[in-house]
Amino acid sequence: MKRHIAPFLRPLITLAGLVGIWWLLQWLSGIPSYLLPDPPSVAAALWHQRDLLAWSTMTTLTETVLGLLIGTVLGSICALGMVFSPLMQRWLMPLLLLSQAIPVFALAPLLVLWFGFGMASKVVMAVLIIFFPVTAAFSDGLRRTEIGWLDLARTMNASPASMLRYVRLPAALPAFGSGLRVATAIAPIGAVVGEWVGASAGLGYVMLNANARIETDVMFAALLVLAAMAITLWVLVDRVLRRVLFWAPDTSAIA
Amino acid sequence: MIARCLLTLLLCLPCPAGARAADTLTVILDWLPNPDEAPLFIAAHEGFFARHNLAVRLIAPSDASTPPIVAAAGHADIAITYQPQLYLLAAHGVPLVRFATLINTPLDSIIAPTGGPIKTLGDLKRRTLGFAVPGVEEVLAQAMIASAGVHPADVRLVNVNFQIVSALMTRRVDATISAYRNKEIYELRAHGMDARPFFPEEHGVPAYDELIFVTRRGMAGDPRLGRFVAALQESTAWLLDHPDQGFADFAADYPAQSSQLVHTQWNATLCRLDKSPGLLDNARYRTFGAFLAAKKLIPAAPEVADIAVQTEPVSGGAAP
Repeated sequence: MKRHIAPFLRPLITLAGLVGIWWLLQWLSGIPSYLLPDPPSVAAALWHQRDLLAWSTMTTLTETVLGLLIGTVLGSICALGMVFSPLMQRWLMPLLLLSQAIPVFALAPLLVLWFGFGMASKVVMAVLIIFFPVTAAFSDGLRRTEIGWLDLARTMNASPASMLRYVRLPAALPAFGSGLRVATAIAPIGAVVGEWVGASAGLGYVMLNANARIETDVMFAALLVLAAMAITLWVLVDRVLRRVLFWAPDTSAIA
Repeated sequence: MIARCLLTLLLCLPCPAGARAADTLTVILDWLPNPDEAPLFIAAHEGFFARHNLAVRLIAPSDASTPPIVAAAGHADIAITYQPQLYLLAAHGVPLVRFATLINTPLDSIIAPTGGPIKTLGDLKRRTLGFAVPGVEEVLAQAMIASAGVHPADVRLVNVNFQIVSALMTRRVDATISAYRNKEIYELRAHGMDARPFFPEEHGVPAYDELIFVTRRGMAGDPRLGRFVAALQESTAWLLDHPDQGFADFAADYPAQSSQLVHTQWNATLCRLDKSPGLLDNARYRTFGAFLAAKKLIPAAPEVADIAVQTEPVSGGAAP
């Protein structure tokens, strides 16, 4: 019983504590509400703007998930290509690094002009942001297959294809999982950055507008919803990965 | 946009201080240094601030909606903002008052490329209209659209942020509001695209002051502000007499702004400057408040005395 409740109770207690500190700070310092709204007014904004927030969340969530899917597929293909073709590795690696060296924020205004103010530019932004962690983690995983396993496969006369299918790929999955977890956590950033520089929908758009209208309560409400969305998405991906990679030892419990 | 943010955050522009311990004032601009704030740069360069024993520090903001909040929070003495924004601020209890005007005509306009689908505002039906500053500008746009007999819901509004010119150039939007008649339209022309402007004051919006100076309510009677207004007034008068020397001063202090395009914009801006910056046009402030209240953007029109004061220029301070 206790074990079942704890995982839900702990984050709630943490959350309640944070809200308490926020409220206390706001109350003690007397910061005006246009600088820092108090929790009740943010709660009220959450309720009154629920339609707008729900609709905006759907937009941002769709952008994030699409970006995550496309970015993961592209990143995986890229990682596989780099591991199996040194030539590709030599040509792709600088490109990959370049994609990370250029801040998406600087690129965002251009992407918006190239792909329009609609959803496409936000998806591209999310893809750009998550491409690197997926590729890097997966290609590292593919490269670090235990030598013994490969030797064994070779003695068993495995073809390169079946070596990939039965040895390298499964062995690289835990690393791929780590990459995907990082990607999930940062993908919403891409979507929101895209909405920030030009959009007509989404949570970033709501925040930008609320900020300009001095509706800090709505701004905070949207921020909370965005955080909740990002955390939920991450927890979901984490759960799925744990289930799929059940055989990868989680040694954290044996400490 | 972010490049701009970072730049502006770092961009503190100290001005030459007065001879003796001059009184300091910090001003948050509405934007990166540009011809709209010409009197400030000239007052610094030509010594009008120093003559009134003021050392004025100009700071560019990270985005156009934050300066008044920064001033309200006490991080700056003066902020530049827009008259329409003043009502929003007051409605949210931000304790600021307008004490001087920089530009006393609207600059904002809807612009549409000539040769594009928008010949009249009525053509905006089922078209895309970009905007850069959310809040009041959406309402201005809606009032303008409604004056042409189009239901605002029939126009798709897109926040194009700082990409006003490029969004039009790439035809991502059919028209934009937030385009200044002294700026973006010339920028478009410089890129080979001519555009047709639609002015708010000709399409259902009362005339207003595009750029105003605001300060915390408690600081409204501060003697430094009278001297600030005096310096501003002298600087503006000087500018109108010496437009080219003025641009040379500006280009020398801000080399990035020394292009022919900015010079054209500079010349188009001078006639918009308020020659009596401290004067308050009560009727204009009352009318615009009533307009915003009628459009339900603010719950009720505020008393003008609560949001704006007149400031007499006070000569002063510096020893000869």
